[in-house]
Order: sequence, then structure tokens, then C-alpha cells
Amino acid sequence: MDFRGIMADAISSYKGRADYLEVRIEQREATSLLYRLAEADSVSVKLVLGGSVRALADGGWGFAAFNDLAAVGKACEDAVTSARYVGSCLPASEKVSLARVTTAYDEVDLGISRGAKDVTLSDKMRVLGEYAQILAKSDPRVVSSHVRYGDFYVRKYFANSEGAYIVSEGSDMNASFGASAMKEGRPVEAFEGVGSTLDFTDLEGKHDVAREVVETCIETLDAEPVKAGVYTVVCDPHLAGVFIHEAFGHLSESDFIAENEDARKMMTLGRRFGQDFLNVADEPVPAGLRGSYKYDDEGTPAVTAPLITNGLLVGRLHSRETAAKMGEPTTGNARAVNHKFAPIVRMRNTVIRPGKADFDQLIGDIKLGIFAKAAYGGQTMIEQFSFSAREAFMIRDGKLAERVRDVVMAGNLFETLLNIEGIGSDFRWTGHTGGCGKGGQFPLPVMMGSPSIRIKNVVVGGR
Amino acid sequence: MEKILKKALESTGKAEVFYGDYRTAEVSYENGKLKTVSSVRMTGAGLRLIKDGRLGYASTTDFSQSDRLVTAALDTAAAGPRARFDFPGDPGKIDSIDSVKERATKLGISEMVEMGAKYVEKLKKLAPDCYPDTSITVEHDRTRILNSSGLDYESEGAMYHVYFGATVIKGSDVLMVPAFKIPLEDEYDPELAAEEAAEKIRMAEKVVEAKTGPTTVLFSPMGLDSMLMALGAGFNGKYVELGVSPIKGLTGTKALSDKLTVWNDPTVRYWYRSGALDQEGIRTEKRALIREGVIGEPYYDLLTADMYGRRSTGSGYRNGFEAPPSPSVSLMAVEPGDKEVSEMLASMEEGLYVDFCLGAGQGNVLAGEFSNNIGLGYKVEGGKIVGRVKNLMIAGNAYDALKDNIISVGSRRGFSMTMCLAPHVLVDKVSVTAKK
Repeated sequence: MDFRGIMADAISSYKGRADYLEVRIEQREATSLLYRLAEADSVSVKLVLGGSVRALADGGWGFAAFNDLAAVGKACEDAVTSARYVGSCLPASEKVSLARVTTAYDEVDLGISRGAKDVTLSDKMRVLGEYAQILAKSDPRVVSSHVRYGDFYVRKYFANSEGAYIVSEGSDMNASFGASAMKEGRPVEAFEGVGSTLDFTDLEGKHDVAREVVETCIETLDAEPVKAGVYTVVCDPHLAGVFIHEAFGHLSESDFIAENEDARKMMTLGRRFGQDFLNVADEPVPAGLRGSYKYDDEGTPAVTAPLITNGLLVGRLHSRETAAKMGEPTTGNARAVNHKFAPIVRMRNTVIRPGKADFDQLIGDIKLGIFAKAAYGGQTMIEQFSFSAREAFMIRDGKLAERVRDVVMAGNLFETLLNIEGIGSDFRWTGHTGGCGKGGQFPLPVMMGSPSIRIKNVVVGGR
Repeated sequence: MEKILKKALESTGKAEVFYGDYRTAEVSYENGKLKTVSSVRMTGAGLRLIKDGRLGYASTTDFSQSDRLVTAALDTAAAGPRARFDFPGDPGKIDSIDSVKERATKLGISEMVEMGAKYVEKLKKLAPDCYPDTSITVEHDRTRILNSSGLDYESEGAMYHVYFGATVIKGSDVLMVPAFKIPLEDEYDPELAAEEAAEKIRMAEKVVEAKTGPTTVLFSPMGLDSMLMALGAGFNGKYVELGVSPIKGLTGTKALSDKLTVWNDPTVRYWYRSGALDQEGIRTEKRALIREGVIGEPYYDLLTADMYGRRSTGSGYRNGFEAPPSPSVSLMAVEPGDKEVSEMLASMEEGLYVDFCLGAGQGNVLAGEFSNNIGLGYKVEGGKIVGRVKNLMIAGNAYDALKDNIISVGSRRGFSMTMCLAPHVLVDKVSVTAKK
């Protein structure tokens, strides 16, 4: 189908009635597989074609999404009408303007070597079925297990009234493994995930990961729930990554602060958020990570955004709108989870830069603490946030001790970051499965990169 | 649709096409300012078929690709789960349940903009330091199921829901007040909503310390989310049959407080999912998941029932046409009690009022475990709210908390974030961990 022609026609017909107009079209194929125990539980495929139009007129936004390509004109009409209506309601001080960006005319090849479309359904089933067998059959105490696989390949077409035209690809393949065993009538669980954007081969040969999930599940049977209290907590790279995503990443998203004077004051550049050794950034690189791309969903070239340097706030994440509003450079952080949504300010690959400490140094002088591993998830209300670990061990007299479970931690933006008192050298990328949710847009592929970190005075819930 | 079904029936005898037409219109205000007006229309079809005893599913939004749709569905069936069931035929005469909130179908954009403006203006007047956020969303769905057993069932659902919140920042203190409303028998009143939000802000003006230890906690419907999620998952027939649900083997047993009755209710008027048939074409029925503490039957869709030799309870629902149905409640509704919230508060010597928790669902949900940082909560002393609490965790297990520790249940219900209809519930001996 001639998407470029359809988009160009729509833009030329309606751009006279808007200050800015963009059309996005997506062609997406996705597969979902679920094994429960060793049997297939659900197998489905979706073929999606759809698009959306976003218009800015008289300083107001309008948006319309569709999936019947014959309805592009109707969507343009709706978006423009909405935008003009919103614009007419806004006083001059509240009208939206957009930061200037280089007008891109580009086709971006992701460099997929063996993607979702290059592997047959039966090959996917065979690979994942082997993991399902291991999870279901290697220990009789495992009563339920699953392998949940999802992939997608999308071709995205972007055009706007400034003359930009970008064709790009998106790709993701990931699988999560879970096992449950029963303890006193209630399940204990263990999980792990594997994934890749460019090569299904990365998901092959992961039998050990499945075996480890079973082992962790069985070991957790003997673990007691953590005793509530205030502890020094050492987070492994995965949990540390989720921690920085929740604790600080979301606050760096400028749509929250751009229009709120009090939030801008709170987030003045130069404010201290951590000790001198804390360095945090959000990056659209390296290639092949789930949050890496050349242009965001507004067509803005993506660049690395340093957020905290030597403990001080140095930058934030922007869309064209927030960059213009705050008079700061664009970063290319406007992302939409799919064609049904308008782009909003989101993270990409968020990192804590590594320090020098090895793991034994991090835990060596902790009399009573917790080593918390991998993340169930996290959620933030800006100042207050929570993050939960999949696995945890007590630290006693500087050594790892017994396994505990149900470790969930409360954080406070202005205290917890300053309480980071040690940063390890064991940097790695995590977040191959799942994604980030905001404004109803979920799951957006993002990653986290971090070494282990040590935080003092963390409130851990429990009984 | 008929074309897709016909094409599928060239390769197999059992097939079903689900067509969905979903329209959404939304007006949103951020930081007190009109942000955007959007409209979304999604149409598409999901094809489910059984070939050689196995079930496959494929969906598309592109009707020019119906041949590929059939091929894809056949491919998935080659790999899919075993299925011995057949799709249900014409159900005969069925009652009609009104799942269309008429006002939702009549709300125009300008009226929605005005609703938002009224909320923002009134709230700014009542609480000048806050930045109000609100969005008014109308959802209007039409669906049709057509299958090889002769079922041809159309249904329609319409609702509107309103998020109304606010942010107050003072130095490094951030207060976020989230609230939302889905009107069923009543309508949304923006000025009343503004008064509600302003009251929450006023109650939070002072930040007070709370103590570590077992505490009496009044949960709002939103505050109950962690526990409601646990019950929702626990009664899913799939988890019961797999043996990982804590309710396994407890049907007919009194395992929870006699103050607790929870319905799976497809008969609630103006609820978009209500209807005489579920989204697989099976008759629905109002069923007690929990009746005065006695555990009822789990809920099943066709496939899950088939896998384990049970009958579908009319609980096959879909998230649009892109995924196959799964066991799901039409509406989880906790039976109201007899106490006004003011009475429940007044009865508290010392405790907490929890309105919103962070991290609901991020933990061992199925086991009933919850451990949450309190996103919005207040301290209660001598029957009165004395200030906001921060940096505080509550923890427990839903099945324990709702067994021996329910003190009272409120008489008025609201929606939780997970879209359950629930009253306030006063629970004793919830574990609280404070920073000091």
C-alpha cells in the first residue's frame, strides 16, 4: 500500500487549517504464546494496520486514531476540528508551541538478524516448549508453571507538515518463565525473563534459566516473609534499574513539570539529588536495546540525556512541546506505545553509571541488611514510590544469609536517592521483558542499566 | 464477517468470528489547563477456530487481509491447546440488560470540555495552591459474535468515566490526590467532585507521624485494590484447577468474615460489560463468589471449563478483538454494609485511613500478599482525621485480613482502580511500618 502517498495527500489537504499536522501509520504483526505446565494454553497472532493524526492549531492539540485507512481524511478532520476548538479555549499564555528540530527524511533499518517474522510459529513453540517441559517436570513440588512469550514486528511511517518523512522499524521478542509451589495453602512463586530485539537466537539455549526458576521457587518454599523494618538494602542491577526508573526517571519526564510552577522550582537544575558519585542518564543507545532508536515518535532525533551528574540535577527528558515551554534542548523522548496513542514524554534506556565497589565491599560492613534481587515492579507518585523484589536474602555480619520473601520497599525521592551510599562495578542491562506504563500506554519497551547499589534507611513492609 | 466465517469453514467445522467496533472520545486537562481532545475508533475481528481438536486464534484490523487471517488462525490451531468443546448455538429468548449508559452516548465534546472546566475552576477556588488534572472519557462499543453453531449475537456497551485529581507541591513535599468515578445510576457532578478533591487536599495539609505496629485501617474502595486483585485472581477457575489458588478446595467452606459478600454480577444496569450472554455467547448469571464469608464457585470461560471438565459460568470476556477470551468477571461487586464512612471514622480510636496504595499488583497477588507504600493516607485519632501520613508501608494477606479482622463495611460504594464496585472497609490489625 502506498502509505507515503496517503499521508502526503492527507497532510496537504488539511495543513492549511492547522499550524502543525502529523500522520503516523503502523503495520504490526504480533504473536502471543502461553504454556501452562507443559501444555499450550493459548496461541494467537494479530495483524494490525492503523494510524493516527495529531494536529496543533491556535496553540491547542487534537488527536484522532483510526484503523480503516479509508478514514484518514475523517481522522484529519476530527483532529483539526478538535485542535481548533481546544486552541479557542486557551488564553495566550497557555498556547502550545513546538521546539524546532531538524526535518528528517530517512529510512531507519534496525539491523534485525533473526526477527519475529523470520522464525516459524512451530519453531517458536518448539524452543519455548522445551522450557515449559523443564519448568513443569523437573520438580514434583512445582504445581503450576508457565512460559509466556510475546513478539512483535512493526513498520512505522511518520510524516508531518514540516516535510519530515521517516520509515522505521520496531521489534521485540521476549519470554518470561514462572513456577509456583504451595506452602500452607498459598502459592510461592519465582520468575525470570529473557528477550531480544534483533535475534531470536538470544532466546534459544535458555534451559538453565528455566532450571534456575524451578530452584528458586523450591528454595523460596523454605523462606519466611521478611520482618518489617528499616534496613540497609543492597539492590542487584535489575532492582537498582527499576529503582532509578521509578525514583527518578519519571520525575525527569518534563510533561509533569513544564506546566507546574511549583514543580519547576522543586526541580531546578543544579539541585542536589544524590552523593557526588551518583551519575544517571537516559539514552537511546546502544543499538539493539528495547529503548534504543534514532528518531522518537515526533520525528525528533534522539540524543543521550544526562540527568544527574556528580549528584546534581543537570537535565531532563523532553518532547518538542516541553522543550519549547522550558527553553531547553530536545532529547527525543516523545514516544507512543502504538498508533492508537499520541506520543508523550517517556524514558528509553535509563542508567546509573557504574562505580568501583565489588559486591563484597558493598555488603562487607552491613551488620543486618537485605540483599534484594530482580524486580516485580514499581510505581511512583513523584515524591513517594514503591519497588518490589522478586527474591531476597538477609545480610548478617557482612555475609549473605537466609532467603526471605515478599520484600517490598517504600521510597521517598528526596531521601532515598541521597541515601545511596555505594555503587558497584557490576553494570548490566536489564528489563528484557515487561515494560513501562503511563497515561494508559502500556507496555512500552524500556530498559534499565545499572550496577548493584547500596541504599541506607529503606522502609521494608511486612509483618 | 460472514465472509470470514465462510472462508474458515472451508477448512474446519468449528469457527467463531468476533467483531468489535470501539469508539473512545476523551477530553483532558493537565495542570489546570485544557490539554487535548482526542477520538479513537478501532474496528477489527478475531477469528477463533477448532481444527483437529485444537484451538487457534488470529485477529486483524485490516479486512482486506481476511485470507491471511484464516491462514494465521489455522497455523495457531496446529500449535494451540486441545479443545473438545463446540461453540454455543442460539440461546433462544434472553433477557435484555441495559448496558448502555444513555448519557455517554449523548455527551458532546463541548459538554465534556465544560465538565472539565467546571471541575478545574471550582477546585482552584477551593484550593488555590493546587494544579487540577481531569479527563472525561466516553467509551462506546459494539460487538457481534457469529459462529458455526448458529449464534449471531450483537451487543452494545456505553459508559463514561471521569478521572479527577490534583497535585500540590510545597517545597519538596508532593501531594497527589487521585480519584475517579464511573456513573451508573447517577451522573458525574464536576462541582461535587471538586469539593471532594478539595476536602482530600485540606485533610492532607498537615503531615503527621504514624507508628509501627498492628493498626486499624479504614480502606477506601481505591485503597482496597491490592486485596480485590487477590480475590479476582483467586476465583479464576484456571488458577483453582491448577491448584495455586488459596480458595482451592474451600468451596462451601466459611473461610472469610461473615461481613463479606462478593458478587460476580453481570446484571448491574448501565455497566458496559453487563449482559445476558458473555463474550463467547454463554448465558451469564449473578453468582456469589463469597457469601457471608462462605467461598463460592470459581468462574470459568469455555476453554478453561473444557480443559478441566467443568461448565462455563458465562465468564468469557475479551479485551477487544486482539486476544482470545479468558476467564474474567463481568463486574466484581462487594456487597455494601450498613455504616456511613463518617460512622466508621468516628468509631476509630487510633488508626489510618488509606485512600490509595502504590504498587498494587506488584507482588505475590495470587497468594493474597500485599505490601504497599501508602500513596495517599491519613492518620485518624479520636475518630477524626488529623493529617496526612507519608513514608509508611502497610502489609498483610488479603485472606487473613478479610477473615478475622473486618470490623465494619460501608453502605456506599465506589469503583476501585481495578474497576471493582466496593464500599469502604474497616480492617483491624493491619501491619504498619514507619520510618521511625
